[in-house]
Amino acid sequence: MRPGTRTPNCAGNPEVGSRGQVVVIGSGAGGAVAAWVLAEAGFEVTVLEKGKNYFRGLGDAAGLGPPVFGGDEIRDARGWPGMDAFAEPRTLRSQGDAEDGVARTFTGDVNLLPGTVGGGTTHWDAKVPRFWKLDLALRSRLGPVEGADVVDWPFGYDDLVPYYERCEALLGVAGDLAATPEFVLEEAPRGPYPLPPNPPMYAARVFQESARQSGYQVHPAPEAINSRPYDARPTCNNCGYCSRYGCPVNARGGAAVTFLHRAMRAGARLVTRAMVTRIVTDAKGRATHVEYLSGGELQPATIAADVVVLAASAVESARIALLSACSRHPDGLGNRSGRVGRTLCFHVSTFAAAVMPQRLHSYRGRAASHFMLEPCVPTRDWSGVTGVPWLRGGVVEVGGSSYLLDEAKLYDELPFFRRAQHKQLMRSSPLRDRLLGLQMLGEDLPQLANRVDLDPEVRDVYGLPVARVTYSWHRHEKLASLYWGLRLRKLCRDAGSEWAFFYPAGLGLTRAEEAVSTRHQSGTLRMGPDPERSVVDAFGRMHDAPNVVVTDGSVFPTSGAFNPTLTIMAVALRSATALAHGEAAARSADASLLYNPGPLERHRPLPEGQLSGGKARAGSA
Amino acid sequence: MARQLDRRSFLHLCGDFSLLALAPRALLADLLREAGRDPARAGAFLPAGRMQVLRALCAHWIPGPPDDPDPGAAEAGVADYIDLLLGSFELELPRVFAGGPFSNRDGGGPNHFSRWLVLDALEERVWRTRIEGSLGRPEREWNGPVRGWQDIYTTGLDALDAASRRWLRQPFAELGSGGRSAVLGWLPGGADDAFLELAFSQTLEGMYGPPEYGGNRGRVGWSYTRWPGDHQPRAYGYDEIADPDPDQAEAVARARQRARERRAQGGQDASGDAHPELRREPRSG
Repeated sequence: MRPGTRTPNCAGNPEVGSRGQVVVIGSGAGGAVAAWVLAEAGFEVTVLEKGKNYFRGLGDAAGLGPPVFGGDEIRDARGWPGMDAFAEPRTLRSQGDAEDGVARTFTGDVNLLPGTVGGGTTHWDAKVPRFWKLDLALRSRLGPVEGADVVDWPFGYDDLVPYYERCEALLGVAGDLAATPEFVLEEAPRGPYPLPPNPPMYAARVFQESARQSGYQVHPAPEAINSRPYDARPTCNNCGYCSRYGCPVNARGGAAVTFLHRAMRAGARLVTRAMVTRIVTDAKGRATHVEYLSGGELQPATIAADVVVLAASAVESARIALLSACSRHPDGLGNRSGRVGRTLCFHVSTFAAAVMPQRLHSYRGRAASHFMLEPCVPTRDWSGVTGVPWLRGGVVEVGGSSYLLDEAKLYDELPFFRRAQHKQLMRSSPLRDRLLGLQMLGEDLPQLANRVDLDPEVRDVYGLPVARVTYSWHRHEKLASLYWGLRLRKLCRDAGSEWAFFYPAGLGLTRAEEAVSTRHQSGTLRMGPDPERSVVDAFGRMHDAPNVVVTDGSVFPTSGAFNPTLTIMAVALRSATALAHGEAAARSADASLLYNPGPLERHRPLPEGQLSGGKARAGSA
Repeated sequence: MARQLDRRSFLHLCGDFSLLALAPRALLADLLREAGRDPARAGAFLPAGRMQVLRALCAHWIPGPPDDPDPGAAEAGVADYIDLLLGSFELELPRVFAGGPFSNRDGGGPNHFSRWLVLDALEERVWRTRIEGSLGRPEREWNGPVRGWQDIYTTGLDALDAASRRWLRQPFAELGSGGRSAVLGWLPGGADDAFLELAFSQTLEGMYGPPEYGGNRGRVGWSYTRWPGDHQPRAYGYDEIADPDPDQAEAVARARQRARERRAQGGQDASGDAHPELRREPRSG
């Protein structure tokens, strides 16, 4: 459906109410997708975003302008945009600490995501693998694991395929089907990618050649990054400020430029600096209003809602549900099962690296360009000795490197370097320009004791209790990290390194808060058929408050072994389709409801001399 | 424009290079020379005496000539970076977040980095709390009292200088490298860990961050580390991304040779070979 052919409010779904006023909380991957579907379907959509807007031209018929993002490492070090742990800290403790009654062991950055328009997609490097069939059926295919709540998803890979395809077409995913290994295509069958792959990064080519001799198939990662002009956005010029940085030229697809832009063109309203404090429910337990703090002055405000779409990220959505406790929902919104905030998953980071004789210039490119997916295939190798029936690693991103300021800070943090060596280290650059880095983001098994709750004492700048994270790795994660760490280290060594090492999860080699900060999070408001064991149904509707629809990563029943964002978007698209057009339409994935991207827009060139400080001010939507 | 610029407008000119075009050329040269030369100069926040201690501390951590062949923190103006941060709210536009997307270092039009983003009331509250401390104001104590960076620097620098004068009978700024190490390392009363951690981390920012923030003068922190900095809108072409740089040929050959040797030695070690499940059967689960 296109603007102009829209049906009146509340098109297909009689459950929604008379006015069809939808309030979307969060403008990241899940919120932007839902806002777009619902705005296209004729609902009155308001997106509340707690951060500011650093894009230009969102919703503008003339097209996107140049954003405020750029390669500025100091701005990044100062928590821009919206990742300021001083203003909005979280607290952390382990499961053991929680049992001992310790309130917290750390206050600060616990896996924060950017609080800004576009959410996590303002800092992703846009690696967009699909989940595998196995990811959605872990319990039935591999069986239970003691101490973990391994379950199947309420739908399978085939149900998601049309939604994956639509999201990939809109984002403009570049990839290489011919180079994709057969074992990947068996688990995630697919057609060609919308765009050809971007240039391979040199470090990945070095590793690819070496790993091939050991039987591993390193291949181009699917990326939502333009390898040619697409969707009125330019080709990526590989400036290098990719992971953790907003794209300075809009070459990277994402929640804002792909979905929110379309949503706003279809009539959705974006309100920035709107920090949601509470979802208000009526006597029947249905949501009626959303309360928020408006503007930099934090004026209390309220907006009426027939439907609330909750998409503030797994940790923050759980926090909002808990903050919304009332007489009908005494333990938090939708928390009859006691599972709101539980089964929090973060992915498990295992780092392996080779310090190479040559300079690899990984600062040119897109943070990483290749994947190695063999560790996503489970193994039973160590089950006899360890008692854990199977081990699964996860996606390995190949070739990553560090930025200059990070490198300088890293030498100071590592115990075996001295400050007196600083300049010599910076000149020879073993841990940046000569570093061939691999990062594995492994399956994180859901545990009921890994959870988000409200910290009893620590507050954020809004005066609200912060999210307290209680988190420990399951034995599976530690063993899988060790199992694959050993193998990745050997592959690194064989690439011709001077020095190769690995850095497994959970062995105490790094501070706990750093170890959990993978910027991937899921599982606090899980999907499932059983209201006693899950928080939302298969279309994201809260069992106890069906007009609250959750569309972010918090609905994931298991973490998956891949970068989560494309799947967040696909699941959000499915849930929003059900909301707008009914379950039957969503189940059949009716192509006419899945919206064509529309004709390509014109890319607006950089307006010379018009970007003064005043103009750059955001948050005026 | 009169030659007697006050301190405030001088700093403004030095920091915001886009405004330099407004000043006469001869005056500009003087200003820039002065910025690099006068060690007794006061900063936006720190008075002259503390600036001297701070300059000495930064230069101790990142030395320049003659102790090191490449320019260090003194040449990069790192102390000025820190001082401008501490004095952010003394300036007309607080220099907290630079603009974007381009710096014009590689072309592309105006330098957006030199146009500071306007802070809203919430950001100003957060950054004033960080820099000035909570000062007993309830709106700044969302998590209890906060000791500001201004206070941490003031007391930290004074303690360094006092310890130096007490034990070594010299101001910190006049000590040699050994004396400075002693004050920082083991002489009683010199090292305040919170201060040193903050100051070192911000020294690195001033050395390696974008020059618009007042440090990394002449991009000296980038040149000796072979770091290009932000490179838009030119960025990189296919060969620059996918191939080794031409000057790396010898190191590439060394890596290849080493890879051959390692593979030859490591033949019995199966842990790096293809996935066991994939070896046994193409599909698992």
